[in-house]
Amino acid sequence: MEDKKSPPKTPSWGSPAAADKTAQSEGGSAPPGENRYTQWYEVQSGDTLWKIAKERYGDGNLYTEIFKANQDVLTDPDKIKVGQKLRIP
Amino acid sequence: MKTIQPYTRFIALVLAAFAIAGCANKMAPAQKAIADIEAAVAAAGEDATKYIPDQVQAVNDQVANLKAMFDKKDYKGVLAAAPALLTQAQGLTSEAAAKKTEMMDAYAGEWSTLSSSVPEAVAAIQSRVDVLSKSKKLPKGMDAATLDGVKTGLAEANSMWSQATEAQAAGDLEQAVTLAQQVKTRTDELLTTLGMTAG
Repeated sequence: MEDKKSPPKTPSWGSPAAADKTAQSEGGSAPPGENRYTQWYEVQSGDTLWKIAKERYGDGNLYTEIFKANQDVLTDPDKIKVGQKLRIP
Repeated sequence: MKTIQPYTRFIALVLAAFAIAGCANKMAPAQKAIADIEAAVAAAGEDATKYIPDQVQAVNDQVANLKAMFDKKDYKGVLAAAPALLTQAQGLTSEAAAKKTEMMDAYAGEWSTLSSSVPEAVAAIQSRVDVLSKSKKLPKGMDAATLDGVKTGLAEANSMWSQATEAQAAGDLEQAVTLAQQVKTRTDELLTTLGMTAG
């Protein structure tokens, strides 16, 4: 479980292009049956959904979009685990 | 000499008559041989021109050569070369059919791939655009104009994809694949702009 307010421990990815390339290399290829263009992100230490949403979308309040896209693995938006692979819609 | 001259003239005239008759005898068959070859090329139809243009051109070039020989009254030469060229021309139909089948199989395979991947790319882009449209502040490297450009590009891609599926439904696989490849190029550009990659 990660604190939503915890400070970032990983550097900013900069542009969106850099961001998802990082996510792709960390998240690996799409599982069978999954849209091959689904963007994945592997949770790092210090991450929160808000922080991921802020970096991906520029707006942390859109963390709900990530939560909704990952309800098969998340039950609480405040509870994400290091190493978890999350869809970034 | 005076008694021989009329006889010699007669012989010469007879020989000339035979020569002319001989030429005339070969002229019509030579003409027919060329016509038969042209008919065989025509029978191969548009498929031959479309799928094996080089072979059709090669035959047409040789037909032009035969016509040049014919114009020079080399009917014997025309008749000697015609059978092989006729066989070649008659083969155009089957060669075109084989090439068409080969290309249709290739298009079918390409369509199978694109009809699976393109909608997924479009869906992923749409998903990202939908979320970014809700964002009060866009991420680094993205501004409103860029996002608007992606939206426009996505609308174009959707429109082209509709045309591609319509072409496929109408049986025009070649057009369907051509359009689908254009959509793929467009969606690849949009994915890059959005910083997204294929899994």
